[in-house]
Amino acid sequence: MKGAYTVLPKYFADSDKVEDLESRLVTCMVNLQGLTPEEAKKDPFGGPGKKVPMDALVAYITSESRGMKMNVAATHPKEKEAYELGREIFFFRGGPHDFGCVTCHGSDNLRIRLQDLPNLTKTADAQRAYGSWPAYRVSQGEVRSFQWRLNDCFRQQRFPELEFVSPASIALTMFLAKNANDGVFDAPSIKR
Amino acid sequence: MKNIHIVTLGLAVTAAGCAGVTQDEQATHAKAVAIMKASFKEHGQAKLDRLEQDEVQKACSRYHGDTPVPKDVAAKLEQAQMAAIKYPADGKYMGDWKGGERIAQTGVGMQYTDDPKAPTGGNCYACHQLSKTELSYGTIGPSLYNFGKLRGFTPEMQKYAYGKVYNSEAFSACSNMPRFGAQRILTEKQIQDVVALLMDPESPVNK
Repeated sequence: MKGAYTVLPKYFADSDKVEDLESRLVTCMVNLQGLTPEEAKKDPFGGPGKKVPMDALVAYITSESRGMKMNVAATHPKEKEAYELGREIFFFRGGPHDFGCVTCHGSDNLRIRLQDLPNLTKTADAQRAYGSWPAYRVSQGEVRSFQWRLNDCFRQQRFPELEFVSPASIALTMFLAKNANDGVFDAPSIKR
Repeated sequence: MKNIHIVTLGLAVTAAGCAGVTQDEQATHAKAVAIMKASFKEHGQAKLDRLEQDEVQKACSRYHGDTPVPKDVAAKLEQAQMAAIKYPADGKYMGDWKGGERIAQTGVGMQYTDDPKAPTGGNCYACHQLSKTELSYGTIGPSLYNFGKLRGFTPEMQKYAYGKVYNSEAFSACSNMPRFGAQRILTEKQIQDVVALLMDPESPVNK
Protein backbone atom coordinates (compact mmCIF):
# COMPACT_ATOMS: atom_id res chain seq x y z
CA MET A 1 0.00 0.00 0.00
CA LYS A 2 2.90 2.33 0.84
CA GLY A 3 3.40 4.73 -2.06
CA ALA A 4 0.84 2.97 -4.26
CA TYR A 5 -0.98 6.21 -5.07
CA THR A 6 2.20 7.98 -6.23
CA VAL A 7 2.54 5.70 -9.29
CA LEU A 8 -1.09 5.96 -10.40
CA PRO A 9 -2.57 6.05 -12.96
CA LYS A 10 -0.70 3.14 -14.52
CA TYR A 11 -1.18 0.25 -16.93
CA PHE A 12 -2.38 -3.06 -15.45
CA ALA A 13 -1.79 -6.19 -17.50
CA ASP A 14 -4.74 -8.11 -15.98
CA SER A 15 -7.31 -5.56 -17.11
CA ASP A 16 -5.21 -4.40 -20.09
CA LYS A 17 -6.12 -0.84 -19.13
CA VAL A 18 -4.62 2.29 -17.65
CA GLU A 19 -6.32 2.72 -14.27
CA ASP A 20 -6.39 5.38 -11.58
CA LEU A 21 -7.02 4.49 -7.94
CA GLU A 22 -10.80 4.50 -8.13
CA SER A 23 -11.03 2.47 -11.34
CA ARG A 24 -8.50 -0.02 -9.92
CA LEU A 25 -10.67 -0.43 -6.83
CA VAL A 26 -13.67 -1.09 -9.08
CA THR A 27 -11.64 -3.69 -11.04
CA CYS A 28 -10.65 -5.46 -7.81
CA MET A 29 -14.19 -5.36 -6.43
CA VAL A 30 -15.41 -7.02 -9.61
CA ASN A 31 -12.60 -9.54 -10.19
CA LEU A 32 -11.75 -10.47 -6.60
CA GLN A 33 -14.86 -9.73 -4.57
CA GLY A 34 -17.45 -10.76 -7.12
CA LEU A 35 -19.41 -7.52 -7.36
CA THR A 36 -20.96 -6.56 -10.67
CA PRO A 37 -19.49 -3.40 -12.28
CA GLU A 38 -22.81 -1.65 -11.57
CA GLU A 39 -22.62 -2.57 -7.88
CA ALA A 40 -18.99 -1.50 -7.63
CA LYS A 41 -19.74 1.90 -9.20
CA LYS A 42 -23.13 2.45 -7.55
CA ASP A 43 -22.06 5.02 -4.92
CA PRO A 44 -19.00 6.84 -6.25
CA PHE A 45 -19.31 9.90 -4.00
CA GLY A 46 -20.71 10.57 -0.54
CA GLY A 47 -23.26 13.26 0.20
CA PRO A 48 -25.14 14.78 3.12
CA GLY A 49 -25.91 11.97 5.56
CA LYS A 50 -24.46 9.34 3.23
CA LYS A 51 -20.99 7.91 3.75
CA VAL A 52 -19.73 5.59 1.01
CA PRO A 53 -16.98 2.92 1.13
CA MET A 54 -15.30 4.37 -2.00
CA ASP A 55 -14.50 7.68 -0.24
CA ALA A 56 -13.21 5.83 2.82
CA LEU A 57 -10.98 3.53 0.78
CA VAL A 58 -9.61 6.46 -1.22
CA ALA A 59 -8.85 8.43 1.96
CA TYR A 60 -7.11 5.47 3.60
CA ILE A 61 -5.08 4.33 0.59
CA THR A 62 -3.93 7.82 -0.40
CA SER A 63 -2.89 8.56 3.20
CA GLU A 64 -0.35 5.72 2.84
CA SER A 65 1.47 7.85 0.22
CA ARG A 66 1.69 11.04 2.24
CA GLY A 67 5.13 12.63 2.15
CA MET A 68 6.28 10.61 -0.85
CA LYS A 69 7.10 12.01 -4.30
CA MET A 70 4.74 11.57 -7.22
CA ASN A 71 6.30 9.09 -9.62
CA VAL A 72 3.98 8.34 -12.55
CA ALA A 73 5.91 6.40 -15.20
CA ALA A 74 3.84 6.98 -18.35
CA THR A 75 6.20 4.76 -20.34
CA HIS A 76 3.87 1.95 -21.52
CA PRO A 77 2.31 2.79 -24.91
CA LYS A 78 -1.17 2.82 -23.35
CA GLU A 79 0.05 5.13 -20.58
CA LYS A 80 1.60 7.45 -23.15
CA GLU A 81 -1.62 7.45 -25.11
CA ALA A 82 -3.68 8.22 -21.99
CA TYR A 83 -1.39 11.18 -21.28
CA GLU A 84 -1.79 12.55 -24.83
CA LEU A 85 -5.56 12.11 -24.71
CA GLY A 86 -5.71 13.72 -21.27
CA ARG A 87 -3.79 16.68 -22.61
CA GLU A 88 -6.26 17.00 -25.49
CA ILE A 89 -9.21 16.88 -23.05
CA PHE A 90 -7.58 19.52 -20.85
CA PHE A 91 -7.51 21.97 -23.77
CA PHE A 92 -10.95 20.97 -25.16
CA ARG A 93 -13.27 23.98 -25.14
CA GLY A 94 -16.99 23.40 -25.51
CA GLY A 95 -20.48 23.78 -24.10
CA PRO A 96 -22.59 26.94 -24.01
CA HIS A 97 -19.83 28.90 -22.22
CA ASP A 98 -16.88 27.74 -24.42
CA PHE A 99 -15.14 26.59 -21.24
CA GLY A 100 -12.36 24.03 -20.95
CA CYS A 101 -10.06 23.08 -18.05
CA VAL A 102 -7.59 25.52 -19.64
CA THR A 103 -9.96 28.50 -19.16
CA CYS A 104 -9.24 28.61 -15.43
CA HIS A 105 -6.08 26.50 -15.18
CA GLY A 106 -3.92 27.55 -18.15
CA SER A 107 -2.32 30.80 -16.93
CA ASP A 108 -0.34 31.94 -13.90
CA ASN A 109 -1.66 33.80 -10.86
CA LEU A 110 -5.37 33.91 -11.71
CA ARG A 111 -8.31 34.05 -9.33
CA ILE A 112 -11.98 33.21 -9.70
CA ARG A 113 -13.66 35.56 -7.24
CA LEU A 114 -11.13 35.27 -4.37
CA GLN A 115 -10.13 31.66 -5.06
CA ASP A 116 -6.58 31.21 -6.37
CA LEU A 117 -6.38 29.01 -9.47
CA PRO A 118 -3.38 26.74 -10.08
CA ASN A 119 -1.87 26.74 -13.59
CA LEU A 120 -1.99 23.00 -14.19
CA THR A 121 0.29 23.21 -17.23
CA LYS A 122 3.18 24.38 -15.01
CA THR A 123 5.13 21.96 -12.84
CA ALA A 124 5.14 23.81 -9.50
CA ASP A 125 1.41 24.58 -9.54
CA ALA A 126 0.50 21.09 -10.83
CA GLN A 127 2.57 19.49 -8.03
CA ARG A 128 0.93 21.61 -5.33
CA ALA A 129 -2.60 21.12 -6.68
CA TYR A 130 -2.50 17.41 -7.52
CA GLY A 131 -0.70 16.63 -4.28
CA SER A 132 -3.54 18.18 -2.27
CA TRP A 133 -6.31 15.78 -3.42
CA PRO A 134 -8.25 13.97 -2.04
CA ALA A 135 -9.37 16.60 0.43
CA TYR A 136 -11.83 17.11 3.24
CA ARG A 137 -14.04 19.97 2.04
CA VAL A 138 -15.14 21.93 5.09
CA SER A 139 -17.94 23.61 3.13
CA GLN A 140 -19.35 20.20 2.19
CA GLY A 141 -18.43 18.13 5.25
CA GLU A 142 -17.07 15.40 2.97
CA VAL A 143 -13.82 13.82 1.85
CA ARG A 144 -13.68 14.39 -1.89
CA SER A 145 -11.71 12.15 -4.25
CA PHE A 146 -9.92 13.22 -7.42
CA GLN A 147 -12.70 11.58 -9.47
CA TRP A 148 -15.14 13.86 -7.64
CA ARG A 149 -12.94 16.89 -8.32
CA LEU A 150 -13.01 16.26 -12.08
CA ASN A 151 -16.74 15.46 -12.07
CA ASP A 152 -17.56 18.77 -10.37
CA CYS A 153 -15.21 20.83 -12.56
CA PHE A 154 -17.06 19.64 -15.66
CA ARG A 155 -20.41 20.42 -14.01
CA GLN A 156 -19.21 24.00 -13.54
CA GLN A 157 -17.94 24.04 -17.12
CA ARG A 158 -21.59 23.37 -18.13
CA PHE A 159 -20.63 20.05 -19.69
CA PRO A 160 -22.81 16.93 -19.38
CA GLU A 161 -21.90 14.68 -16.44
CA LEU A 162 -18.49 13.03 -16.45
CA GLU A 163 -19.06 9.37 -15.63
CA PHE A 164 -17.25 7.82 -12.68
CA VAL A 165 -14.00 6.01 -13.71
CA SER A 166 -14.72 6.73 -17.39
CA PRO A 167 -11.84 6.62 -19.93
CA ALA A 168 -11.81 10.43 -20.23
CA SER A 169 -11.58 10.85 -16.44
CA ILE A 170 -8.62 8.46 -16.27
CA ALA A 171 -6.84 10.06 -19.24
CA LEU A 172 -7.22 13.52 -17.73
CA THR A 173 -5.98 12.22 -14.37
CA MET A 174 -2.94 10.76 -16.15
CA PHE A 175 -2.16 14.15 -17.70
CA LEU A 176 -2.46 15.98 -14.38
CA ALA A 177 -0.71 13.32 -12.25
CA LYS A 178 2.30 13.07 -14.55
CA ASN A 179 2.58 16.87 -14.65
CA ALA A 180 2.87 16.67 -10.85
CA ASN A 181 5.79 14.19 -10.91
CA ASP A 182 8.53 14.82 -8.31
CA GLY A 183 6.13 16.89 -6.24
CA VAL A 184 5.50 15.74 -2.69
CA PHE A 185 2.11 14.10 -2.24
CA ASP A 186 0.51 15.76 0.78
CA ALA A 187 -3.05 14.48 1.02
CA PRO A 188 -5.71 13.85 2.19
CA SER A 189 -5.71 17.57 2.89
CA ILE A 190 -8.24 20.06 4.16
CA LYS A 191 -9.87 22.69 1.95
CA ARG A 192 -12.51 25.37 2.43
CA MET B 1 -7.94 -4.66 -44.96
CA LYS B 2 -8.42 -2.89 -48.28
CA ASN B 3 -11.23 -0.84 -46.79
CA ILE B 4 -9.06 0.24 -43.88
CA HIS B 5 -6.45 1.55 -46.32
CA ILE B 6 -9.03 3.59 -48.13
CA VAL B 7 -10.26 5.12 -44.88
CA THR B 8 -6.70 5.98 -43.86
CA LEU B 9 -6.08 7.66 -47.20
CA GLY B 10 -9.27 9.67 -46.77
CA LEU B 11 -8.11 10.89 -43.36
CA ALA B 12 -4.71 11.86 -44.76
CA VAL B 13 -6.31 14.00 -47.44
CA THR B 14 -8.53 15.72 -44.87
CA ALA B 15 -5.53 16.35 -42.62
CA ALA B 16 -3.46 17.78 -45.45
CA GLY B 17 -6.31 20.13 -46.29
CA CYS B 18 -6.17 21.63 -42.80
CA ALA B 19 -3.09 23.87 -42.69
CA GLY B 20 -0.67 23.29 -39.84
CA VAL B 21 -2.48 20.32 -38.34
CA THR B 22 -0.42 17.13 -38.55
CA GLN B 23 -1.98 13.74 -39.06
CA ASP B 24 -0.88 12.66 -35.58
CA GLU B 25 -2.57 15.67 -34.00
CA GLN B 26 -5.71 15.04 -35.98
CA ALA B 27 -5.79 11.38 -34.92
CA THR B 28 -5.24 12.23 -31.23
CA HIS B 29 -7.96 14.87 -31.37
CA ALA B 30 -10.42 12.46 -33.02
CA LYS B 31 -9.68 9.80 -30.42
CA ALA B 32 -10.02 12.28 -27.54
CA VAL B 33 -13.40 13.40 -28.86
CA ALA B 34 -14.48 9.76 -29.19
CA ILE B 35 -13.54 8.86 -25.62
CA MET B 36 -15.19 12.03 -24.33
CA LYS B 37 -18.42 11.08 -26.05
CA ALA B 38 -18.20 7.67 -24.37
CA SER B 39 -17.36 9.17 -20.97
CA PHE B 40 -20.10 11.74 -20.43
CA LYS B 41 -23.80 11.15 -19.90
CA GLU B 42 -26.61 13.63 -20.32
CA HIS B 43 -27.88 15.05 -17.07
CA GLY B 44 -30.85 17.41 -16.88
CA GLN B 45 -30.45 20.27 -19.32
CA ALA B 46 -26.82 19.32 -20.14
CA LYS B 47 -27.18 17.03 -23.14
CA LEU B 48 -24.37 15.33 -25.05
CA ASP B 49 -24.66 17.87 -27.89
CA ARG B 50 -22.68 20.20 -25.63
CA LEU B 51 -19.62 18.17 -26.66
CA GLU B 52 -20.12 19.14 -30.33
CA GLN B 53 -17.64 21.92 -31.00
CA ASP B 54 -18.31 24.83 -33.34
CA GLU B 55 -15.55 26.49 -35.41
CA VAL B 56 -14.50 28.80 -32.58
CA GLN B 57 -14.30 26.03 -30.02
CA LYS B 58 -12.39 23.76 -32.38
CA ALA B 59 -9.80 26.39 -33.28
CA CYS B 60 -9.43 27.65 -29.73
CA SER B 61 -8.88 24.14 -28.35
CA ARG B 62 -5.88 23.87 -30.63
CA TYR B 63 -4.33 27.30 -30.01
CA HIS B 64 -3.38 28.14 -26.44
CA GLY B 65 -0.40 29.04 -24.28
CA ASP B 66 2.77 28.77 -26.34
CA THR B 67 0.87 28.40 -29.63
CA PRO B 68 -1.36 31.48 -29.82
CA VAL B 69 -3.98 31.63 -32.56
CA PRO B 70 -2.34 32.79 -35.86
CA LYS B 71 -3.39 36.24 -37.06
CA ASP B 72 -5.11 35.03 -40.24
CA VAL B 73 -7.09 32.35 -38.36
CA ALA B 74 -8.09 34.90 -35.71
CA ALA B 75 -9.21 37.43 -38.33
CA LYS B 76 -11.41 34.84 -40.05
CA LEU B 77 -13.04 33.73 -36.80
CA GLU B 78 -13.64 37.30 -35.66
CA GLN B 79 -15.18 38.27 -38.99
CA ALA B 80 -17.63 35.36 -38.94
CA GLN B 81 -18.60 35.95 -35.31
CA MET B 82 -18.98 39.71 -35.88
CA ALA B 83 -21.35 39.13 -38.78
CA ALA B 84 -23.64 37.09 -36.52
CA ILE B 85 -24.07 39.69 -33.75
CA LYS B 86 -27.70 40.76 -33.37
CA TYR B 87 -28.00 44.26 -31.97
CA PRO B 88 -31.32 45.39 -30.41
CA ALA B 89 -33.72 46.33 -33.22
CA ASP B 90 -34.56 49.70 -31.65
CA GLY B 91 -30.89 50.65 -31.27
CA LYS B 92 -31.19 50.87 -27.48
CA TYR B 93 -28.07 49.36 -25.86
CA MET B 94 -28.57 50.39 -22.24
CA GLY B 95 -31.02 49.05 -19.67
CA ASP B 96 -30.99 49.29 -15.89
CA TRP B 97 -27.60 49.10 -14.14
CA LYS B 98 -29.23 47.69 -10.98
CA GLY B 99 -30.42 44.69 -12.97
CA GLY B 100 -26.94 44.49 -14.49
CA GLU B 101 -25.36 44.37 -11.03
CA ARG B 102 -27.59 41.43 -10.07
CA ILE B 103 -26.65 39.60 -13.29
CA ALA B 104 -22.96 40.32 -12.65
CA GLN B 105 -23.19 38.89 -9.12
CA THR B 106 -24.82 35.56 -9.94
CA GLY B 107 -23.26 32.62 -11.75
CA VAL B 108 -26.27 30.35 -11.60
CA GLY B 109 -27.52 28.83 -14.83
CA MET B 110 -26.91 26.11 -17.42
CA GLN B 111 -25.18 23.68 -15.07
CA TYR B 112 -26.99 20.36 -14.90
CA THR B 113 -27.79 21.11 -11.27
CA ASP B 114 -29.50 24.41 -12.17
CA ASP B 115 -33.21 24.93 -12.80
CA PRO B 116 -33.48 25.53 -16.56
CA LYS B 117 -36.51 27.77 -15.99
CA ALA B 118 -34.76 30.16 -13.59
CA PRO B 119 -33.00 33.26 -15.00
CA THR B 120 -29.33 32.76 -15.85
CA GLY B 121 -26.58 34.95 -14.45
CA GLY B 122 -23.55 36.44 -16.16
CA ASN B 123 -21.14 35.88 -13.24
CA CYS B 124 -19.06 38.89 -14.37
CA TYR B 125 -17.45 39.26 -10.91
CA ALA B 126 -16.04 35.73 -11.15
CA CYS B 127 -13.48 37.11 -13.63
CA HIS B 128 -13.64 40.94 -13.54
CA GLN B 129 -13.37 43.77 -11.07
CA LEU B 130 -16.40 46.04 -11.65
CA SER B 131 -17.52 48.27 -8.78
CA LYS B 132 -15.16 49.44 -6.03
CA THR B 133 -17.46 48.07 -3.33
CA GLU B 134 -17.37 44.42 -4.40
CA LEU B 135 -14.02 43.10 -3.16
CA SER B 136 -14.64 39.48 -4.13
CA TYR B 137 -13.76 39.62 -7.80
CA GLY B 138 -11.64 37.40 -10.06
CA THR B 139 -8.71 38.24 -12.30
CA ILE B 140 -9.19 35.99 -15.35
CA GLY B 141 -10.43 39.07 -17.24
CA PRO B 142 -9.23 42.69 -16.98
CA SER B 143 -10.59 45.17 -14.42
CA LEU B 144 -13.67 46.97 -15.74
CA TYR B 145 -13.75 49.55 -12.96
CA ASN B 146 -14.59 52.99 -14.42
CA PHE B 147 -15.35 51.33 -17.77
CA GLY B 148 -17.52 54.15 -19.14
CA LYS B 149 -15.73 56.96 -17.34
CA LEU B 150 -12.40 56.03 -18.94
CA ARG B 151 -13.76 55.41 -22.43
CA GLY B 152 -16.39 58.13 -22.64
CA PHE B 153 -20.17 57.82 -22.26
CA THR B 154 -20.79 57.71 -26.01
CA PRO B 155 -23.36 55.74 -28.05
CA GLU B 156 -20.45 54.14 -29.96
CA MET B 157 -18.97 52.82 -26.72
CA GLN B 158 -22.41 51.52 -25.64
CA LYS B 159 -22.66 49.63 -28.91
CA TYR B 160 -19.14 48.26 -28.48
CA ALA B 161 -19.96 47.06 -24.94
CA TYR B 162 -23.17 45.41 -26.17
CA GLY B 163 -21.30 43.61 -28.95
CA LYS B 164 -18.48 42.52 -26.66
CA VAL B 165 -20.86 40.98 -24.09
CA TYR B 166 -22.97 39.48 -26.90
CA ASN B 167 -19.98 37.85 -28.58
CA SER B 168 -16.46 38.39 -27.20
CA GLU B 169 -14.98 36.15 -29.92
CA ALA B 170 -15.93 38.75 -32.55
CA PHE B 171 -13.44 41.18 -31.01
CA SER B 172 -10.73 38.90 -29.66
CA ALA B 173 -10.57 35.37 -31.07
CA CYS B 174 -10.07 32.66 -28.44
CA SER B 175 -10.89 35.02 -25.60
CA ASN B 176 -11.78 33.15 -22.39
CA MET B 177 -15.03 35.12 -22.12
CA PRO B 178 -18.31 33.34 -22.93
CA ARG B 179 -20.42 34.56 -25.87
CA PHE B 180 -23.37 35.58 -23.72
CA GLY B 181 -25.71 36.62 -26.53
CA ALA B 182 -24.59 34.33 -29.34
CA GLN B 183 -24.81 31.26 -27.09
CA ARG B 184 -28.12 32.41 -25.56
CA ILE B 185 -26.79 32.56 -22.02
CA LEU B 186 -28.26 36.04 -21.45
CA THR B 187 -31.31 37.63 -23.10
CA GLU B 188 -31.24 40.93 -25.01
CA LYS B 189 -32.71 42.71 -21.97
CA GLN B 190 -30.15 41.18 -19.63
CA ILE B 191 -27.28 42.29 -21.89
CA GLN B 192 -28.75 45.81 -22.01
CA ASP B 193 -28.72 45.78 -18.19
CA VAL B 194 -25.08 44.63 -18.13
CA VAL B 195 -24.18 47.38 -20.63
CA ALA B 196 -25.84 49.89 -18.27
CA LEU B 197 -23.74 48.55 -15.40
CA LEU B 198 -20.65 49.33 -17.51
CA MET B 199 -21.82 52.54 -19.19
CA ASP B 200 -24.38 54.37 -17.03
CA PRO B 201 -22.70 57.35 -15.32
CA GLU B 202 -24.80 56.51 -12.24
CA SER B 203 -23.56 52.89 -12.08
CA PRO B 204 -21.17 52.04 -9.21
CA VAL B 205 -18.72 50.92 -11.93
CA ASN B 206 -18.26 54.60 -12.85
CA LYS B 207 -18.19 56.03 -9.32
